[in-house]
Amino acid sequence: MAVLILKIYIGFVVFVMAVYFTRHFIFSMNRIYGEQRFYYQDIFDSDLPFLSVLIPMHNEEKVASHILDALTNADYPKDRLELIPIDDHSSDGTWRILDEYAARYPFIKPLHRTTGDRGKQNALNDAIRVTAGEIILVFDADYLPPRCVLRDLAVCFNDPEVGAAMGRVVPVNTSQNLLTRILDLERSGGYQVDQQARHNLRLVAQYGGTVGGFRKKLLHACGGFDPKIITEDTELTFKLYVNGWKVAYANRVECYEEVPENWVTRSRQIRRWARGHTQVMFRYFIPVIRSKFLSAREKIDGILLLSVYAVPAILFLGIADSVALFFLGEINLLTGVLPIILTVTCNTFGNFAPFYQIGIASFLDGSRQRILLLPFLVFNFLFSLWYTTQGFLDAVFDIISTRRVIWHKTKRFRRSTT
Amino acid sequence: MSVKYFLILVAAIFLFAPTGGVSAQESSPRGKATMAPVKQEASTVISDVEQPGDTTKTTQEVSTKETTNAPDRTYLLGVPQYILITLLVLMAFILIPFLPGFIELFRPKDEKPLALNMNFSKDYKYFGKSFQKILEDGLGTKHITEPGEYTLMLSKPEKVRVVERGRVSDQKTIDEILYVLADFTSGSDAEFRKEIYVRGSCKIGDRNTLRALYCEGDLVIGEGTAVIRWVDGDRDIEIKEGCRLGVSVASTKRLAVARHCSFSRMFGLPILTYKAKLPEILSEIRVKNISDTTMVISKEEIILPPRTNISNDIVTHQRIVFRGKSFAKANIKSYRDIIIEEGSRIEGNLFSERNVVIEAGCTITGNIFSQGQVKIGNAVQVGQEGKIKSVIAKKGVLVEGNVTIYGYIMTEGEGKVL
Repeated sequence: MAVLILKIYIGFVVFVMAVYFTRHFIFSMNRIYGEQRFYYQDIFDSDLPFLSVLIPMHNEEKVASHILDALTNADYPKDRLELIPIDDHSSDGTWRILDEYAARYPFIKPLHRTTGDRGKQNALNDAIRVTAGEIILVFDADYLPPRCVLRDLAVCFNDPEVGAAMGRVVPVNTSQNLLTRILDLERSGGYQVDQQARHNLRLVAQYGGTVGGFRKKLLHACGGFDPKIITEDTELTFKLYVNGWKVAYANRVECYEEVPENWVTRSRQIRRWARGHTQVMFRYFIPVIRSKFLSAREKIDGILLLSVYAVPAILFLGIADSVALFFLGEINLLTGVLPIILTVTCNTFGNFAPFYQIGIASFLDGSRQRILLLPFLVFNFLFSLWYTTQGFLDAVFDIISTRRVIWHKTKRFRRSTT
Repeated sequence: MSVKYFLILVAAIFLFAPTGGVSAQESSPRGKATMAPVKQEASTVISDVEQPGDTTKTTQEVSTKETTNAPDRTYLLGVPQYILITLLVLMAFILIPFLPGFIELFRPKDEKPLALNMNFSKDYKYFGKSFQKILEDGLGTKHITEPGEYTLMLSKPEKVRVVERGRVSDQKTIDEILYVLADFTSGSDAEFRKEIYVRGSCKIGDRNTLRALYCEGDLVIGEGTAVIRWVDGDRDIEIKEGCRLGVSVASTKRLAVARHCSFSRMFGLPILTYKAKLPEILSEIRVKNISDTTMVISKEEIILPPRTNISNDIVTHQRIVFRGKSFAKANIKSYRDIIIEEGSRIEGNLFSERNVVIEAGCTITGNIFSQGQVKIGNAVQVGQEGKIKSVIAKKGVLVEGNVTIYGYIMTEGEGKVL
């Protein structure tokens, strides 16, 4: 009986992998051969909404002035704009930098948080209460937005169906080491192909919590960000979709970010993402299926997107399962299945953006030489498999134990803004 | 460094391993013990099979003698050499996909982040301003008051002819950049292979071919003229019948376009199409008080009866039709077509995943955005004085007479004034 269960599980793993393989293959083909939908950035509109731009910061003295310089240089009318950098329990010189900028620019209104729980979702909840804008945009502190980003994001809210908007993230510190170059490839695949294809196919584009924004009234209607969920962006995405709103993805609204430069920082980041995303999966799996506003294919894509951080755990268990079957002398069954697992796995999970998807993304970006690094993704795949599985298990324990979730900030490596 | 030495090491092992290994007899007593009985058995077999006087050798004999004459198997580090070679070949096969990546990693050609223009700001007069800047930077044109010949360094040296006021005769071809200090006219069938800059007013004759033209004064473009790239003006522009308007035509004042002109992008305050017979005079629409601003989401086709008055934003997954003389103070989104019938007024934006048809005499105060085609009927007004709005259609825009658009019109497909 136990052997039968193990065998069935292997079949399940193969099925899951094949589904994701197909999904990402469709995305890749769509980006090469499919029809590309317009985003809204070509719209010239003199009636721009009042924007509140929030920048959560915890000990960000290395980067704070860079993002504030970039945003003060934005081409958005300053009488329709307020910048609210949120000093979230900083113990370094962040507060001083924010106050200096506030003294120079009347539209910069820092919020200093010294009480309450730390964390991005808590900081945003507090800041939203003092915002004047009907549209809230959010940037992480390490981001470097070009001049046009605010305008290009704001204009999509003319569409009455758009509840949130998301731009493209481009790593700025790619040349540091193998990890940063791999993450650059991964981001490229994730945005240039994955997000854009979902926009084209009218599936579930994801709001990523930075280089993006949302309608304040919708967040109020949904009760704000849940402090227990550490990926507030994923939660908002699904809150919006199950209630009939959409996320607009803007591939040409690009913004530089800093990616982790060492594996320890990366492990913490991906573990946090996996944990938060899985929390959202547990909460929204059923609502997505039951939502009357989503089409069948949106539901399927929504479920696959929700489950994406569970897949490494499923796969990890599958590998353990296959080892167990080997020692139980059941390997004969697997002679046909194992190669399928390996092939599909290898092609599917080069850390959430399959190899072919990343290759196509690099091609579309005109980055031909960096495609040569694709085989190195296998290291990232194995690395992510481990830490994502841990993040998944964290989320499971969160549910069981109802323990308090603590938000960990990603370490910065900024040397200069060049 | 390490890659180079690693490759040398791998190559050295391949080159020297077969001959440079230590023999089994020298290195391993276990080797002697295993090889000796094989020889012994071989000679025994020969004596058993060979018959006196038999000149032909049996197959068994041949194979046995080959076995006898086979070279001694050699060992390296106590492991049979063929196993080592097999392992090395296997390693090489595993490493081959990584080799180009190693080269890119240690001798990078594509390590820089994707280039983003941090100062890019969308501008409908981009072409004209860029050209103006090139001339100013290259020639100091603000200070040029005398005619003459100059050289402008672009990708290659370009000749610039500066003239006081110009008149180009019929069928003449001009191969140099023209900079006109006052007014300029051209006869019919002239061809301008380089750009023209006119400080005064300008009148282009019929059937000219223009590469690009910037005019600071009033501009008239004659019938059947073909613009290869762009036309930009600081004052009124009038386009006669049957012109092909290249990539962009922009004016900060009035842009009047006659019948049968084709375009990709136009900007004007306003854009006016040719005078035609007006549709029947429309009666005033009575506006009710607007109070309800919630959104209606529907999966059904919506057909609103004539003289409907609505104030809800509407999102429908099917077609939506506003029958004649309807009024909406709302944003409308449809996954299919939007049809606004005669005399209706929409105070809001229209977004369609397919086509938008605006029939005669309608007023749309917001933007029109379509992933398909937009057809704008007789005497339609888009936008309003003092504001800038846009008509964006992915697959084409067809515009009839008496149309007024305050702002921008753009398509990737065919733009045509009917």
